[in-house]
Amino acid sequence: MPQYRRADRIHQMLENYLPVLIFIAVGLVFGAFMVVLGMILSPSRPDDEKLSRYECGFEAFAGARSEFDVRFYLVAILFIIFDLEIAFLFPWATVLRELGLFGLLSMTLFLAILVVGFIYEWKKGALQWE
Amino acid sequence: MVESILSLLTLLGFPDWLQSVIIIMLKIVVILIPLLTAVAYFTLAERKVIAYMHVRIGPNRVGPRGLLQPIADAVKLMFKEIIIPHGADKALFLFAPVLSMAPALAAWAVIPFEAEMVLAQVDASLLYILALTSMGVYGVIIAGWASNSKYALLGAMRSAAQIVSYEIAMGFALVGVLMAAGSINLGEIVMGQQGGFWHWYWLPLFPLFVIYFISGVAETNRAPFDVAEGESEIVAGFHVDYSGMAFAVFFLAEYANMILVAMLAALMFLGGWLSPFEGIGIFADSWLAAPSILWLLVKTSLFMFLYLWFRATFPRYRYDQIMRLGWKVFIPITIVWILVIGVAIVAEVGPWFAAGVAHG
Amino acid sequence: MAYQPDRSQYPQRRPDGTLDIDLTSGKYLKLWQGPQHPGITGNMSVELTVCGDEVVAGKTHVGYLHRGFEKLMERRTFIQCFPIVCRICVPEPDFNEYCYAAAVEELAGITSPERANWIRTLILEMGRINSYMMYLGGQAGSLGQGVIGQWTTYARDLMLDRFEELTGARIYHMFILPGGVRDGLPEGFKQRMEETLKEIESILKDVYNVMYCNAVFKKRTVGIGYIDPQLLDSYGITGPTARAAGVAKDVRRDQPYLVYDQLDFEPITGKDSDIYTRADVRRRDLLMSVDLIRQILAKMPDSGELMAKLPNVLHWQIPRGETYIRGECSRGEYGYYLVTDGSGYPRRVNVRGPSYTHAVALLERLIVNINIADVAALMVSLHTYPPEIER
Repeated sequence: MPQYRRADRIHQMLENYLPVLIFIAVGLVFGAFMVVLGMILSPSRPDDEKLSRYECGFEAFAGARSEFDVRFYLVAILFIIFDLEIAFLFPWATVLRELGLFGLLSMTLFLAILVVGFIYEWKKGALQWE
Repeated sequence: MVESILSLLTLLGFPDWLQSVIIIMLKIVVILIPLLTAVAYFTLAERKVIAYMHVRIGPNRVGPRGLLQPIADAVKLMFKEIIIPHGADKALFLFAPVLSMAPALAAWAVIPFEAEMVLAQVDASLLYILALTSMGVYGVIIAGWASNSKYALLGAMRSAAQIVSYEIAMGFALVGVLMAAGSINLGEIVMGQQGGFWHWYWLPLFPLFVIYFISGVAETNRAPFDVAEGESEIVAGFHVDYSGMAFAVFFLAEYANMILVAMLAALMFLGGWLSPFEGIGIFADSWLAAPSILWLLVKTSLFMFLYLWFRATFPRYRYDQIMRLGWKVFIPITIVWILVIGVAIVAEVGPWFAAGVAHG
Repeated sequence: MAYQPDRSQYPQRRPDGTLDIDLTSGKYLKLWQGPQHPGITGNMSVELTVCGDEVVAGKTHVGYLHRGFEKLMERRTFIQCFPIVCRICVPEPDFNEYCYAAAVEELAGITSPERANWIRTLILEMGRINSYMMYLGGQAGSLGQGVIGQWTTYARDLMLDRFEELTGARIYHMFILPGGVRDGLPEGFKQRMEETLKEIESILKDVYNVMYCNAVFKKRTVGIGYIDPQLLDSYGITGPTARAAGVAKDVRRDQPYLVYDQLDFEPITGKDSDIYTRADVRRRDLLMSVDLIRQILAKMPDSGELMAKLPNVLHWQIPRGETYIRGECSRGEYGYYLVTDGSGYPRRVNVRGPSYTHAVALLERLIVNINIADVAALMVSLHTYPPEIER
């Protein structure tokens, strides 16, 4: 394929993404517009009681930004691993028909390794939720 | 119509790049206005549907049969004070709703409403949607942290953990769809389902279909997976300290996401804009068999109704049960079913995976 | 599957028995649940100390609804006390009226006529149905299932219509006077009651299908909030909560009052003593009440005295004495302890409501090792009414 055609195709592809970019910008602007509109139109008569945070009608025991459970980090880490796996599976899934049996077997191997890790996590209690 | 606007713009002497930007902006407006109207009336539909399931009437005071209720709600929320509590991080507090709104809207850029009727003909559209729906977590986390309230923080942490967990099950379900369709482009996924009701992917991918929709419900933090806002434990979760328009933006984002999940389910598993009567002799020439955006809307409404039905009749899962369901039930099932589909594709099981159907 | 948490992070006990909870360690979090909280059954609050998602200690705080009825009554004549006793328990006020009236009758040496006793029994059973209906809605609502509450509110409304027909009032009926009841059954009441009972049975069938058969509801309630049958006496647990633990405690049968000895019934018992069993026992108890009302309407005499002859109530002096009247209300044993000293005023009135024992000491014990999500469901499953807790 000649060089200029290739450049053209990339240009074409990027052009396809332009609406996406604009849409994201519109989304941000729209959300910000709503909040700003609300702030302009609404009254602002703060007082101490109104600004106190919700604590079932009591004074707060302590600040809210305390430490929290380590399991949430664990979930985040597991998520990253599995999400990467899914990212690997995506291109494979689209071309499985061309790859045929060889593609299926190699991905089965990959999934098998993933499953071993999954079983390990399970047995280790990383998925144990109280 | 696009051509006439273009020639008008050329007459007015706009440069080329500005012309295309204006056209894109117009298209975005054409998507956004029906979307926002749908969101507004989805809230009314929710109240009405749940009311009838509760043997009540629901809102019927504002306008004929309560039809102007969403507008009244919007006006009310607009004029309500936005309270920023003591100790809250002001900038983040106000930025969080924007951050959850933007992805909920921007994901619609790649949704095809009919063949060729799509704003951005992007090859990796499914990947883009997966990426954007994950972005919604940031809004939740930032809101929970910025409010400086324990209930909000707990709600945000739970909601984030829940969203990322179900994202995995959802991702695996999507992999199954990709394998069946052989493409990441949503339009091509729909076209891969041609041939009538029994050719749609819900049948060969049935477990994935169910898991996808349940994960979608969990991703949008809706009942029965609404622990993030479970009012009997942590009151309203991450948006407990939000009021007025800042709250309304969260609300809009949640409903836009619900409609998005419903429409994706319709596109990927129920043949999108394809007609259910396709390929049936007696309907062959009528409009009933022709693909049309109406079919897509009908199918989407079906899933939207399911959302409301769940909310009316299900008790809430407990948090640990939700996590167990996501990790220990859905992920193993999806992995197994991906292998099943892989074998079916290599063995060319018809009619879905027969040699001639392949795309990409 | 039963809930099996990991207890490795649990607080140790200090030598004096208190929990060693160091809030600054970041391991524990203190949360208020109530009084301004949607997951609380009423005007009380629970101070929760949680470790992760699990409650390690809970302390109940009451006092938001204290009106001092018992003290108020000491400054009122016997007939003046009568309209305020029903305010002690809002959803099932008739028990207060009955227990107070029976106590006064006993001390004053009056017997209420046979027909009045039948009508009293009828009203008490109707009130029980109302109370259970509220409970069912609350139990489902505490788990986020709003639809049950709406259906049972409708059914309860039908019963309130019958109350209105019979007594002229919907909530506070003030029908059971010391000495008898104010009126007989109105024309056509039995037939309309039968229609209402049929409607209630059909709604309960729906409730059973949507609530009790729901897999998520079972997941949330089976095995949660277990009450050891051995605790029953030490914590003063009575009523359906005790019967769900397998102990057939029912004042209606153990010590029949009114006309319960002429009715045919068996106390409903469960065996698992968890939230689900308690909900199920109450549902079956409700159906039993429906059956009892049918029996009452079939067996009751259609004519006869309604009121015993009372002295001039403005100068009604009751001889010195004391008595305790008990009855089985929808939540457990309800009792009035009345002391008179020969004057025109009660010397002391003490109300024994099941809500107080269930909502304070028992809740504090059961709440430990429960997930915070289950606190609301647990509280509701004990079936307590805040106005009755504090009086």
